[in-house]
Amino acid sequence: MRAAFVALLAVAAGGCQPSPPPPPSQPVPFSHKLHVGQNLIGCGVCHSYTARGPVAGIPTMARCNGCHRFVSADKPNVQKVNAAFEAGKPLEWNRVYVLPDHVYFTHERHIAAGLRCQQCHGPVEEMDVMHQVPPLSMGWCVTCHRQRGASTDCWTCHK
Amino acid sequence: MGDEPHEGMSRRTFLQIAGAATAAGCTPARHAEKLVPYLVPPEHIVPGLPLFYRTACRACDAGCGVTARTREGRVIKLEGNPDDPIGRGALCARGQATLQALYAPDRWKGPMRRGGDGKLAAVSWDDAIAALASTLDDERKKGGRGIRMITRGESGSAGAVQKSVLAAFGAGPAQRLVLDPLDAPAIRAASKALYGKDEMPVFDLGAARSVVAFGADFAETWLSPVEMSRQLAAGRGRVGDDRTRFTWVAPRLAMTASSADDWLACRAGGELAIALGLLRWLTDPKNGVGDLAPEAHALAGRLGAITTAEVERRSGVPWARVAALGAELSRRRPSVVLGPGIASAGAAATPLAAAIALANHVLGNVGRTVLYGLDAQPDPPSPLGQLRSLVEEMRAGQVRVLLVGHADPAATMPAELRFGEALAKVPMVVTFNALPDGISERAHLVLPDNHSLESFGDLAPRKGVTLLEQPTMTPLADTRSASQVLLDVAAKVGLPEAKLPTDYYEFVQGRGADEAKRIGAADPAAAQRLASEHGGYFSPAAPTTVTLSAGAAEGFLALGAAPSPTEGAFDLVVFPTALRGAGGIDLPWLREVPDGITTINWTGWAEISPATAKLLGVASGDVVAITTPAGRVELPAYVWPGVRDDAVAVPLGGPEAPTLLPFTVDPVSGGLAWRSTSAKLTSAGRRVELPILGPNADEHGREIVRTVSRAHPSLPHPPPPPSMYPAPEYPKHRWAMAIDLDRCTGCQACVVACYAENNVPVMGPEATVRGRNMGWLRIERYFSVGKDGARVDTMPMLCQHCESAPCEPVCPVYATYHTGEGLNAQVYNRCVGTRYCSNNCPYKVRVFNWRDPEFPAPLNLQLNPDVTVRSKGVMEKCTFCVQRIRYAENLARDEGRPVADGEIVPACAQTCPGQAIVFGDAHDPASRVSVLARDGRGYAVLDELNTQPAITYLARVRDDERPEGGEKQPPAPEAPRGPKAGGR
Repeated sequence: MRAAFVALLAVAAGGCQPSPPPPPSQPVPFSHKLHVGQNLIGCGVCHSYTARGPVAGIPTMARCNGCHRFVSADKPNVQKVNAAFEAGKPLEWNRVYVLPDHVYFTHERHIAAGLRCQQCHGPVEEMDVMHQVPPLSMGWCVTCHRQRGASTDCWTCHK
Repeated sequence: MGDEPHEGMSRRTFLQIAGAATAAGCTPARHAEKLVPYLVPPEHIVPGLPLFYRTACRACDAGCGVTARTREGRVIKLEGNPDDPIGRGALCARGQATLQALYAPDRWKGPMRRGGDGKLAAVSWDDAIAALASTLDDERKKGGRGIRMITRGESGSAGAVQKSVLAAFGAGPAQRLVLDPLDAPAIRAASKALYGKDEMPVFDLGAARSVVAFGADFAETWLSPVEMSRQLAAGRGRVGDDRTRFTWVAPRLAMTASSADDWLACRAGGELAIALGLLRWLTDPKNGVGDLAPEAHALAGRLGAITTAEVERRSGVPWARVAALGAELSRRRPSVVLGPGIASAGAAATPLAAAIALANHVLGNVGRTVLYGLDAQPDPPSPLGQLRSLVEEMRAGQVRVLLVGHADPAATMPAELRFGEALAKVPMVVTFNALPDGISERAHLVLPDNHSLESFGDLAPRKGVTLLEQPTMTPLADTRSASQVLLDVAAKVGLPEAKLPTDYYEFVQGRGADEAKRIGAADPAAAQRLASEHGGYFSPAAPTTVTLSAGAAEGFLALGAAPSPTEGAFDLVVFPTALRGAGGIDLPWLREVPDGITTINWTGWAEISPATAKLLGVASGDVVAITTPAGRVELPAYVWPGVRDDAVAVPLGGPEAPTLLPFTVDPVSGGLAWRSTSAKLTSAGRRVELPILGPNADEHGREIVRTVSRAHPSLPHPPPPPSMYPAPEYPKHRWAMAIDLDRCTGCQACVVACYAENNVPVMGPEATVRGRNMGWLRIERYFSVGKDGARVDTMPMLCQHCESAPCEPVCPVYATYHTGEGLNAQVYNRCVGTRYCSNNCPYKVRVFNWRDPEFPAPLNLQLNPDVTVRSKGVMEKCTFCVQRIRYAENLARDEGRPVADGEIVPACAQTCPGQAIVFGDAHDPASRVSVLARDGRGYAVLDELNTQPAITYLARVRDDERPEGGEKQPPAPEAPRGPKAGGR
């Protein structure tokens, strides 16, 4: 009886996986493995607002161009990036980490609490294709908050 | 029981499995959300953090400085600029709402030209400028006499540009008409006649111990509402005999008058009789008023003709009341007499303004509370008589080019003027107005101006105050600064002899540099930079002394011919309100937020007294037909005791008042006679469902707004009842609020600020009819009838953040709970919409989303990203602006310090002109809110329920101690504070 019910529920679930969504496609195949893992560029170099504000920020086109007009400027994908900068038309990246609208999250407080980027974002330095590692579920957030003695008041994160 | 092992599957296991399965099944499909990087990082912008700009408010001509809060390059909220001496950090309801003019969905997206088919079509700026240039050049060659301009007052660079460009095309200053519908020209005319100064005095209510207003709605629209509300509140903060006493003289109680201690319900048009009667009493040697200005003696001789009987007959107010007012003013110095306001400005507005000025003069108020020599007057409004001649010239075909800048006489002036019709006779109508209106309907060229939040500019509202406007964001559409367009037009024609600037920005900067030099800055460049950070140049300016022309004064001491009574007619009183202003533009927040007195939104109404209602056989919501010689309208009646039995009152801000008003002008000042006609009133025999928030204005004896007497400003404080529950603990803070009802004027600024800050949706009149207005904060008003007529008590009502909150235990899903900082939280993503909480809330401050809110683009750009946009099916309410608490706490943590008292300011408290709302930490005994909570006037609303709210209200002070004046009469018995509902 019990097994049948669980099976029924599993069927009702439609075979979906409770795992993070697959990585979206990007306009340029940007590799974190190359930039972070091999060339040892720190996260904050490109995500420059991480320690200052709620949003980590993504590198401006000028930041990409700043290196890439000298580095690998002959590669077709890099030329795409440089061309976008020259044309004044920024690339439109597809967002990997999305939080719902009713959640207030600030990078700044988490960095100030001494968390490393990889604790939430996974081994970014090994990723050729950036993908979401944690489930970003409330349970996942709260577990860590509990472990570290951070506030679990609803209004800490819900707005 | 729950831990008992179950055979098969326990309830808990079922829920776990079902939950996991559902969650897995519902893993949301990825939203295709784009991340678009900046090309080059903009200086100062940190995504997710606000960036503030100082600029100026253009909602009216008062000239308040504002701080615009921007996020990622768009303005999301306006607040007052604390450095600005006029607004001092506060902003009124209309000022808050100018954001919606910026994001108005129907704003022109670019220049338009009327084609051969009679329709407006988009055109390039080059073509539009060339078209205007060639037309104006043709007129210039003919001498420029066919050019006219109608504009709002432009006291800064924009006005200078308009004047010099018009002059370059041969149009003199008389061809430029400055239109301010709510101007008070009679005061300027009286100043000119009495003191030889054609200027508006500046009033300082803060220094006055008595304030008398003749229909001057200074807390709503009159002259400088934010400043004067603050000044009145300053006097209300004083204790005992020094507390400002406020007397209202008018046929109708305006919102401003809800703060009044006394109402002289004078007949419409009888204000002059009262003012002269007051002067007579003051100067009459029999009354022995000492310390009067030396001119008083000379005036006394002339005032003998003003008989007490005549004053009573014309005003309908017993002489004893006038005499008592005189006695009060003679005793309480300094005082200030204000007026006339729109509701009292008739064809004899200048004599009334003169009588008021003389009262101030003899009482020695000039130089103390009435200050001359501070009016900067670079661009005063034109007398409206000129508008009539302009219309005649338009009709006669003498006007060949009409330029209109931020003005719409078709909507704000009496329809009798037939402005629209005259407009059709003008071969070239050019409008700079931002929104489609009565002008653009007939315009040949539409050249939409930038919003003031998108442009550079400056304003000189007063001597010593120069406000700087700066763009807070890039223009939303292809609009251009009207001043730059005018300069471009002149450049296109090429008028080298006019020596016009070519770039408006540089012109404004050049004038700024001049101003920096003028105020004697050691380093003008640094001063200019500092000025743009602070919002303007603020230098002290001293008032000048004035000399009364005795001869001129004597000319004003007569009552004039008595009006011939019209049988069965009512006096028509039109009045502006804090939300509707003079009308002309419709902004959703100002329509949605209910009127302060009637709590009606979205529609006009006609106020009548209960006696009139009985006579006509109507109740609130029944439609009445109002007929004047100028026109006829039908409006739903609103019955309340704050209007005289012989009057009917209609608000401005809709088409009704302009239809009813004849275009009569005060012959001396040229101002429009707003109070000039009587009206026939009949029942239209039908009824509408009024969109009204509070149909019942009766407290039902519950003492919701408590009052104390001036002599004993303290309430009994019984010991708190015992509790069965453990007292909650607040480890760090306990956020609390104090609201001083003696300072609240009911101006609704807090309500609009709350809409702006918290993404409160606008739902329309149908929602209000069904009781579904979404405001988190409302102004409650209660009427009572005392021995001298009606009284209004106002109270801001919002979530009380009760310690024992009735809403919390009834929520089945823990969507509402008490935080460790004393906030009553609502978690939208937990809420399933049972509405139990709202049913159990005794204050009725929770609102439910019956449908999804709509923010039509680009109004969505105004949404505050720190506050969730709620969706259908969830309950919402005041959060004490938790996002602002969080912001300040974050900032303090970054800087490694505790949050300072006064650092966290919710939107309502921030904008309150009267500073009636104070927020802070009740844990800190020295915080302002703690000090106020211990005040003897402090109480909790419905404290018998023992909800222990976090909001302490400070009781209103009643000042009923009217001094006796002149003829002694026995004190009238105190009438019981009987219920007298105004609504249905």
